[in-house]
Amino acid sequence: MEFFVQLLIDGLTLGGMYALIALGFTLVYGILLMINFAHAEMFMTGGFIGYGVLNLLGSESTIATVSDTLPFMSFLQSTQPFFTTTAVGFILMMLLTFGISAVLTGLLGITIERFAYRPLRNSPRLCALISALGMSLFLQNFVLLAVGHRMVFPTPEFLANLDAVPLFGAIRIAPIDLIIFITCLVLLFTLDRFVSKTKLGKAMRATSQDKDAAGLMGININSVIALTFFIGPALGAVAGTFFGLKYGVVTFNMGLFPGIKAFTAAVLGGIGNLRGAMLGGFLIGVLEALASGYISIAYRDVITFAILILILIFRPGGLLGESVVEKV
Amino acid sequence: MKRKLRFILAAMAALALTFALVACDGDNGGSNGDTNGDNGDTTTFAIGFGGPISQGAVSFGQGALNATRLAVDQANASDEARDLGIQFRVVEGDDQSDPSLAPQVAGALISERDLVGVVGHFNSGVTDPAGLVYNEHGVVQISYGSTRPDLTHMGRENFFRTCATDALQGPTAADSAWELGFRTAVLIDDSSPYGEGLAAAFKEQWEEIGGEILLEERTAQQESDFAPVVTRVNAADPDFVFFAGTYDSSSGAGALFARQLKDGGVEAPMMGGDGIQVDGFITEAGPQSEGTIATKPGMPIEDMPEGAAFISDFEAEFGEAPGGFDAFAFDAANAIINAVFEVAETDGVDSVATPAGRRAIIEVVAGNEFPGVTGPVSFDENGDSANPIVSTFLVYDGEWIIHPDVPTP
Repeated sequence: MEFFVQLLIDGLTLGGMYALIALGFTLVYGILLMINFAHAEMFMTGGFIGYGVLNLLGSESTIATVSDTLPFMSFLQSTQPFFTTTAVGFILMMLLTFGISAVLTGLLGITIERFAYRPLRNSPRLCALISALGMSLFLQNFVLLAVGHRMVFPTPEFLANLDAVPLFGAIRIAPIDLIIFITCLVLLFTLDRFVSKTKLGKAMRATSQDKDAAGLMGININSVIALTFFIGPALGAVAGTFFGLKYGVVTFNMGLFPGIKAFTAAVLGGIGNLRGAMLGGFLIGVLEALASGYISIAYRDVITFAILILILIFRPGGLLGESVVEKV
Repeated sequence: MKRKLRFILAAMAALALTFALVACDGDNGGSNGDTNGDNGDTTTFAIGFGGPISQGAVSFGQGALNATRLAVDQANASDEARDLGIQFRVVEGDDQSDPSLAPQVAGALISERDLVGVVGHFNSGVTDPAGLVYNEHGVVQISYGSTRPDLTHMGRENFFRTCATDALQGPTAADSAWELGFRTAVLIDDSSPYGEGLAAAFKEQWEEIGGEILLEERTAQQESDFAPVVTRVNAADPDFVFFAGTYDSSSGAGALFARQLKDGGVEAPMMGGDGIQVDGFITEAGPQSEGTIATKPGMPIEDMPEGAAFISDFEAEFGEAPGGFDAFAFDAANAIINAVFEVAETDGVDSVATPAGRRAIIEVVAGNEFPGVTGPVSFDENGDSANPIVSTFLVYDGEWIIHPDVPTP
């Protein structure tokens, strides 16, 4: 029983990250009917930006180097102990790291949409797809050349000193896992409310139903699409930064596997459906954990994808996807 | 669909990049050769280096490349080189730890007309396919870090290696673990050719001496999340965890695994092979690496007669201490250089880069013995080091030290 619960916890943490990435796939698909292959790279870029911000706020050596070239940044030297050692400072540093990473990555997402996808919006869908693939390769290699292939992500001192949270029996949750899980739930809930309750969310739903009609009703399609391309990458960036914090390293190609898994999660839940992507993410995470716990980690992808195939055979639209009649 | 498309595109980009890099290197090498030629009546020979330089297990590649450069620089400054009128240059082959790139990288090295030998490669899975190319062209290949046992049993008379193999390392690891009082193990390999070989060699000896294996697992090399495995390790509660693999996720995940084991509350120490006995492992796994045990071919070089000079020369030239398998690469390069000198002396400088000269180099390397940084360098009839030693290390205070509780052989 304890074994099972521990696996469940492992799976839900991983699943939370998958869900955050999967939302980016599903949001864009819902509105543009396009698979944004560059989305996995948003996750990676977010991780690298998070790495930079965290070093800038918390690493003495980085701050020293930066202040040498940019003297006005030297105020960071006095804030560094506050950020790394106190609880309030730690929370503030996390908020800043995730905030800056999400906003910058979101802006990058908007830029990519503006220059790589918008000019192709009325071309055959394959063109946008290839443009997305190119974007993905470009970003990977850009980060590889500009930053490096592999960066050791700093662990904030405060986080390193936290003890694992005992649940019951021998079951314990690492503090970072708890933070990941709670943050994911909060973000998923907020996004769900945003899309279903606010005016902008309504505009997004309208655009996804019929772009032209929505435009005729006075919705600015371009800004709605730009918003979509902000939210998706921003969520991906949060997942990327969590990845760095949890595993202690960011690599230029780290988007590949989580990207594939998250895409699978989006398909499993019904691509285009927000709650489906969330459900799919958690489901894939838990399935993976159970498969590797009870059988072998070597078989986990086999089992996960076998279940995906089975579900798609019986529910081709995904778990929560509606079967939409193809527009002719 | 996505995976396939992406893979093809990635492969194409990688190919293009490799060609571009190789082309650049060729240009640089060419101009070097010219300047050397202007200085007098000298002949320049190329020594190829194959290993992960830009990506992959780079901490085993970049330093070894520097060690090869150091050997070449020292040879170029030697009296022998001056008397014979020989200069060497290093040609880089960046295999990125990727077996599928091996044939291209090897082919690019072979295309250098003045190539006299190759130091490399590092990953066993790369050394094998690259070795096919060198074998076909009759060029001597000396690997500095490929420890998979069967590499020397493929009937390639041009292949040698300066490091000990997993056939020795695995059993030594098992013996050391027993010595340390461990009786139950969890065995995990990273499904690389190296990891599988090491795991098998370890397992055989461990069961032979009466050790128990509670759980055997195999992970994918690209894996980053090991939480379920850690949960299983916790449930099995072993004396130690043997991880047969390398340390970074582009060619294994040793550091991530060590980190997650400690974070997951596993008290038992992790033990591994030479794949994790490198400073990058400690940097990446952080404080969670403390107490990790690893075996590695060779003795600590600072204890060897030639070691101190090598370390100080290396530091003076590259600003950092040699690590990983750098000393083995240094010895490998010198084995080739010595053989070239000998062949040039007996058959004349002009014959060195001919098929007959290359064959003569192979014969000389096979029969030669000289004092190297890692001990006396010579090879047995298969091409394995005739002087194999494996030592046991421990991470203590953020550094690899010789394990105090295991007697050195």
